[in-house]
Amino acid sequence: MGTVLAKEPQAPREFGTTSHNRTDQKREDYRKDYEHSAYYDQERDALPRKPTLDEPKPVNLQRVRARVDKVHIDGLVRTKDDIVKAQVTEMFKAKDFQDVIVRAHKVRGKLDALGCFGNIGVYIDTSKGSDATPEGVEVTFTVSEMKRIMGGINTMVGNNEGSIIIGARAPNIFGRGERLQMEYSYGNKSSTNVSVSAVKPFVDSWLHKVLTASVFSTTNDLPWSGYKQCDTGFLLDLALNRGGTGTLKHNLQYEGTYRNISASKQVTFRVREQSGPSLKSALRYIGCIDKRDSLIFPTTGSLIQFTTEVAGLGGNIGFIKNEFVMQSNWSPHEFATFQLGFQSGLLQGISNDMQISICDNFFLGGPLNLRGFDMRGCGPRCEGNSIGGDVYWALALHLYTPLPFRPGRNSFGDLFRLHGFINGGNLTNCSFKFDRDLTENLKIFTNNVRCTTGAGIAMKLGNVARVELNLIMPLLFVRSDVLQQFQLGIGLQYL
Amino acid sequence: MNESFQLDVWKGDWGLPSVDLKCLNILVYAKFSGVPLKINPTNNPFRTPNGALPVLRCGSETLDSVKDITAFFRKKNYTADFSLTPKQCAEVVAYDTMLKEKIYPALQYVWWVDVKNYNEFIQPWYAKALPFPLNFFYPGKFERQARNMMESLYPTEGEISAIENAVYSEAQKCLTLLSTRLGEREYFFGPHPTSLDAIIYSYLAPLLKAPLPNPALQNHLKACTNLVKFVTRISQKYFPDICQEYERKKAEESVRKMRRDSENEFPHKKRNQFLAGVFATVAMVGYALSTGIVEVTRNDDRMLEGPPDYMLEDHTRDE
Amino acid sequence: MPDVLLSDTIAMELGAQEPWPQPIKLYQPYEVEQILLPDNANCLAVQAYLKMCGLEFQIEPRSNAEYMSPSGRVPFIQCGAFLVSEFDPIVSFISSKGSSLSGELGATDKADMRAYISLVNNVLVNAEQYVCWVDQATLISVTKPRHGSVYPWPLNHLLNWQKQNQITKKLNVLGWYNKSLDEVFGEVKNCCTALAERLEGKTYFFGDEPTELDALVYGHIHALTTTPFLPSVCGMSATIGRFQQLIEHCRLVNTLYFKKESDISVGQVYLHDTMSQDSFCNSTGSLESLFPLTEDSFAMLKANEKNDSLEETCHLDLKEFVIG
Repeated sequence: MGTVLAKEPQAPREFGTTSHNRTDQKREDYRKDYEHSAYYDQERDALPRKPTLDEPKPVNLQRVRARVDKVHIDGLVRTKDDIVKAQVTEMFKAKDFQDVIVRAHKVRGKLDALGCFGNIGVYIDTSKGSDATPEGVEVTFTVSEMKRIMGGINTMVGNNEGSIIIGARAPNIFGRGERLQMEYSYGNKSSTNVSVSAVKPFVDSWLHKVLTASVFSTTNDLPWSGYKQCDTGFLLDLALNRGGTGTLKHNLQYEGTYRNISASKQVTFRVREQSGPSLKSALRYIGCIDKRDSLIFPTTGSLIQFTTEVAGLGGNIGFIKNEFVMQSNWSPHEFATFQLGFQSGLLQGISNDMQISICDNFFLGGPLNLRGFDMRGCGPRCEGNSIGGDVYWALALHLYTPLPFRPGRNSFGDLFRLHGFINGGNLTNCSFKFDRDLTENLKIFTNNVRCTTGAGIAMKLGNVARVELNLIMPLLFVRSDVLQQFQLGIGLQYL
Repeated sequence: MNESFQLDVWKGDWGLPSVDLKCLNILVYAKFSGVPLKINPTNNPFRTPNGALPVLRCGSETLDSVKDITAFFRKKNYTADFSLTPKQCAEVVAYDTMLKEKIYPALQYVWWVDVKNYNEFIQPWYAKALPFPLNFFYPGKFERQARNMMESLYPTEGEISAIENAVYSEAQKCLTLLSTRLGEREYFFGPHPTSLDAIIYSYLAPLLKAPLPNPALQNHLKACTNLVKFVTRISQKYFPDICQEYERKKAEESVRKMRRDSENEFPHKKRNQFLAGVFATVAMVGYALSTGIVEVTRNDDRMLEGPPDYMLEDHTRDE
Repeated sequence: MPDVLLSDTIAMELGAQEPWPQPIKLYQPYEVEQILLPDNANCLAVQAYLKMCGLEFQIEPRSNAEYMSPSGRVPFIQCGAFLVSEFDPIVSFISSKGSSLSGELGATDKADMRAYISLVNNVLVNAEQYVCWVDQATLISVTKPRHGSVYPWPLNHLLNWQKQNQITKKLNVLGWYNKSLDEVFGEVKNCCTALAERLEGKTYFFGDEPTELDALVYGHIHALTTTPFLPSVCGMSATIGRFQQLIEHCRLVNTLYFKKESDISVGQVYLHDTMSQDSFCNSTGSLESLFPLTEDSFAMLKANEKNDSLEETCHLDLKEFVIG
């Protein structure tokens, strides 16, 4: 992390103020320091900032010895002490002043992760009073707890329908970060999605565990495949994460879902014969290493994610599904970022007694997936309906630049990027077998590969979603594929 | 045999003795078999044993279903089916179920589910016919029942328009079938009316006679001319008073309406024309004056008048 | 509305232009362990009708046949690109293709036939639904285990419950739900009386040749009289048993078109004669391509691999089901 430079605490400029005010001033300065350090912390890789000439000579904070005497937490009402204590104990391990600042930042992140507090302020002051040590500092976290119940109503347009979303949240119910969330959305095509989830974090040890239990009911209309899918089920999720803010995350999930597929009127018989109810009971493991610096427009770092799902613990659906997602970013210049994304998946049946439904298959294509193809527009089709496949891969190479001439720099303009890309992939129904010849299995990388190239503009929405408008030219495709030259896509996940 | 039969029914309208299918069935059947009925148009399904009209009261007995009532009539030796063979009786049963299966849902749809008919015609009619507090309750209840019926008959159809199509198409097929079955005969089993005729009349007559705002199915029935004649024949023969009265009322109504239309369209035509003319003139003149197109120059006139006098005067003075 | 009629006729005309795709596939639930009385009666009626028309067909048992059907009811046939479900539409579809059994009837007879078909479809079907889903003894001991047999544990209860609600609601609307069992038998008796009167000692209901009404009545009478052994169904069988003419008619159709005596149970009849050699071969041949293999078809496939004798396979399978 290198040396953190900061302004030397200046002598109080306003001599007219009382000594009482002076300490306030000092506290202000410390806060400034802290903010500087936080700023540097975020922009680790940015060019080292040169101190301006008229500033007094910088001090090396690493050399300023410090000992944390006390940690105050202001504003606790119903949050229990034990979980807060567990978060802040590491403050006391600080040896020097830089350490204090870094740890304070980390603790702030941890407190934030509890999901109990609206905003958190940090103040560092010299220690006073009878039991103060010479290098002692006191750290004060001022927190404001969230209200008992929060809610909101939003409207959303997407997926060919408009919907209204009513959400309610009861954070920190029993004082240890437990929360209950509810979301209800009602679309104009009479599709209703309901989900209720209860979250219980276990945060008192080095391993941060979050247990989530949710019940959901969703309805999806999938005209590309010609069916409508209604899912009702529950999901038990255990998220493990070292220390609450680490880059390696594990999720263990159990999902029991009752799915009902109803075929639309004009649909191929291959899809129609799949209609009817089915019960999936599955265990899933998701392992994820995310070292990217941003979710939507990362400039550096990589993401690797493995998903393994085993269905067939009861129910009449049985399969093993493996998926792998990778993304790597590299910025050779301030204005150019290369991004390589790769996804692949493999679906295998486990027993002939257990079915695999069409809704378990992989589908490829779409404006944020394999660009240039319609939603589910790539891969096996039957009479115009996409029926999906059991093995796929997709690869995308992007080059991102900011908008030319940087309009709205550091504000509005930073929401946009231009990008050029080339992406390719394949989806088939090859019934992959391990005992077969390797070349047979690798045919998916050689036969019928699809490839498109194009360029467009991408925008981030609220740091979670992404909007893309692209013009695409297909290079390699198969006659049955559905191509699109212009695409507008909105979504959370992208390739 | 001196018992009196009392029948509580929905009241009639549109030239029918009753607007309700079941009441109509019993009324017509009673006419066919010559039962001396005392009819009370109560319009009150609340004061019945099972919440449904018609209700037949005879001495201590109270019956409220079509089947029971016809069986009761038969027991009292009133029946219209003396002349039928057993095979024809079987046909009556078969046609009864067919009408119930095919036309009854369509009637329910036309009456209660079709939004236009319900809002503009049915709901107001029932609200007026029912006594005070009940009129807030029963139309909604009947509507719910009808909707329930549509949902359970077509559980896989999500959209009401698809259900409408299916129901109407079934009913239309059935009407065509009835029309071919009747042919040119007077009644379904020859020259005498039977219980089958009563049943069919009770299904068709309300559909034919009601002045519905949305006449999709009604038009199909009107196209089957022999069925229309069949209904009219029964109405005129067995309910001549009601029928004639309605005809007369309708004629009067239309005449009155015509007259009102011709007279009342502009009752003070002359006066209005005159007033309009005056108003227009005033307005035009006012406008012309205010914008200065026409100027009334009284002062100038005086000036013009003045000088000659003056000149004259002058002249005289000079003289 | 005119547009539905229009679309109907367009579909019919389109259908008429195409040549007969052979063979017709008839989709229905599994006869041995899944199918319920009303569905079985309808499937039998359609099978009888196809046989009367002299059309080749092959039976495709599917556990989700009900959900696959465009109208949500079984059976349905696949004929080229067309899917047609339920008895009446199947009959009109086939007559649009030129094979009609009632083409020579007069207009009055046709109308009468439609009325009798309505009678059967209403009274007998509702009585069967009533016995299956409202009568508690049958519901618990037969209907629920059979209807839920193809679904895994919690799902079978859920689907049974859903189906029960749906049927109950319908019967309620039609005024059958509040009837007692005796009243239901009374309705059945009336219906059978009407049918027997119509038959009047003739061989068939209309003329000397069978019509769709014969097929429909055969399906219901056969299903009702051969389904064993519950008090409520027995009561119904006994009611029908009193109409000797109908029983004779049923037996006649059975021997003429199904070539079997009607004294054995329905399941056995079907494993023997509808899964005849070629259709069984066809269904196993297509099993590999159909991808959700269900338990018993897989068992059949396995058994088939083991020994080539198809007859033995059927027996073996049957035994398994009997034991199970």
